Amino acid sequence: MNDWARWHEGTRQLDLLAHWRGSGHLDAEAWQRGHALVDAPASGAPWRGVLERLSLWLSVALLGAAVICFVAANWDELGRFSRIFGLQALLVLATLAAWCCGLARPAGQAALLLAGLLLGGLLALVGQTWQTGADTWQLFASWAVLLLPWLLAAQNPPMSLLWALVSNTGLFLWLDEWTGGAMVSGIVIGLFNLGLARLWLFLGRRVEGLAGRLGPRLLFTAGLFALTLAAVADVFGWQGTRGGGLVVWLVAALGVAAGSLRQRDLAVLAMAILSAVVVVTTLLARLVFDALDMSSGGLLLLTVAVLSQVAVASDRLRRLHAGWTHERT
Amino acid sequence: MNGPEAEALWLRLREAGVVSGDAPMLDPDATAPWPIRLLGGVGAWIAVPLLLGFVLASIDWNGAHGMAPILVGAILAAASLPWLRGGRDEFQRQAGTVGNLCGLLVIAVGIASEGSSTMVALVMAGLAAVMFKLSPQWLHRFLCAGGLVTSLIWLLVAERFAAESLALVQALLVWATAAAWLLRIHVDPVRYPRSAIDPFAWALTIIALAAAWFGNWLTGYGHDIHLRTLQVLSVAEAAMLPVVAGILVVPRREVLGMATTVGLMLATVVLAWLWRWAPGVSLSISLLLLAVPMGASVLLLVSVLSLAISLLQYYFQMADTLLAKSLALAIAGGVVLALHLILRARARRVAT
Repeated sequence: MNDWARWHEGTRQLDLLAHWRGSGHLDAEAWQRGHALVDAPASGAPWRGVLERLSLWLSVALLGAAVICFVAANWDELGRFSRIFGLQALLVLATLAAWCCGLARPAGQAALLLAGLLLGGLLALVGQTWQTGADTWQLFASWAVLLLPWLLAAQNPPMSLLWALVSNTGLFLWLDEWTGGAMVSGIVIGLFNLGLARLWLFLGRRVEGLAGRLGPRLLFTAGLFALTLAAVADVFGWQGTRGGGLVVWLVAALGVAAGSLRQRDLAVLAMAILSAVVVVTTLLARLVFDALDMSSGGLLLLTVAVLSQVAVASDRLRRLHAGWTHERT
Repeated sequence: MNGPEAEALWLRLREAGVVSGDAPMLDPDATAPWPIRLLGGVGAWIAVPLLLGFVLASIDWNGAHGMAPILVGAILAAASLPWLRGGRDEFQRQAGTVGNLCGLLVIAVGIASEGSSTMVALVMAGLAAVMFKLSPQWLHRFLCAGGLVTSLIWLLVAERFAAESLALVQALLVWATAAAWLLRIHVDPVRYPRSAIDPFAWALTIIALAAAWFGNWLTGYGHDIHLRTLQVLSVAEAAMLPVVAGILVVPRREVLGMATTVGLMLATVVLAWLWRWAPGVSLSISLLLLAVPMGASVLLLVSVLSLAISLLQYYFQMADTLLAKSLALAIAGGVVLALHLILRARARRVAT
């Protein structure tokens, strides 16, 4: 168990002690003795380990910000080759630091992430200095392609999320230029992110560095958000509801829900349900205000609809969670 | 917390002679997983504006007596109390929460149409405090705490948003936030229940961060940082960071080591001085330090995000030149890196 996990376990035990104390199951003496029993190991090595990691990432962020401010302060005095060579030098230094520290260590991972960010800055600077008429989406697409080798080498959540962010930005800009409407963009970006999330889960079973749930959850959230927007855009489409956005959303949301039931991931299941609440409420709103032409009464109807959906969903999720917990014991 | 972990901890306490008998059953509401609480919270956020829209659209504003909205709001708030306090199922609890919040907002609208903003703030502060006391729901308490703090700020700032009064508010908010979280960490939960402290501390945190980020915009960037009052208040606000660090690490100096303890204290003093004009940065680092003993992952994430936003804001701040900012950031980065090296050296010494 690493320091993060030990730290988390220790603090959860302290929370549980506080809950028992607050509900009257521990008297004052038992509370003090229990606290002493749990607190000492929880605040020793795990604290040091957590503070060590936090101080490393914080120092990297601060020193990186210092470099950015320094460069910005002297930007006008620098010639174009000075700017580009300077940024290239920083990129090489960051990469060397990652190689020397080793990617198994947090310092190496932080250095490689910094190199990934500097790569984007270098591409932007090249594009700004020699204006070839290339579109912005091409910059992000190039950045995503050039990041791939480092992504394969790093095999960790921060680099994976950076790559996902860069590729999403490029995709969004390309869609904005070449397709029409929020619905199509929402569908493509939504499906792209859901695909990335599935890929991450698949790789997470084989690659230790990608084994956590945070990355896939963030991607599922982004994908469901985009598909929900597509469905809402479809409902309020100026030519009437065509159904494309709704159908894709429905199939994708059901797929995500089924997958999260299999994975026993309550967070993703809750996101899928929340997406359903938003889309159903939007459909009801269209029905109430356009088809039935209700005014203020429609707002009350929608309030009841939202509360009912959330209440039923919360109750079902609670039972599901209790069942999963019971099966684990 | 999960059943097996609770059982294991109770067994450990029993073997140490701290407790006897079987582990108590956990209250399902108190231990509902965060996705379920998030779903309920977002649902309430969607439902409140809808219900508020219905109530406001139903009132005949032309013919109604000035007291009508206040009366409607009071009836709504009172009628929702039984479900808010003792709803049998989730639907009743959510409906009670939404109805009560809507009632309070309609009362505020009614008073605003008849009286001054100061009167609104005064009445809402009182009502929010009463509802906070009566309510058992986390989200409802969080919003009532937010309403109470916002009303008190309004009473202090009094529509003028003068730089000095806003700086005073920021300093008070920052210290109140730190005090709330430290209270949560150190006090007996029987005397100060976490079900009350947690929502209040979170409300203070969100408002303190908002004040740090938007304070300059509210005063129209017109304040003169050379004013003695602003200088004193900024230092008072920044001083919170080393105080929080001291309260957290000094009692644990034997476990953490003297070098780590002294290093952390010195680092926070340097950081607090460097960013006394960028309050969001000091506040974010304080929240980061507070999140560690609580194991509060969400607070840790919020503090990291707020640090990123605060640094971005610092970049665009006009008080210092870019070169001065670069120097300040480099010094701070160096200090924190030195702290990291001390921690690593301590870890190696302990391991050998």
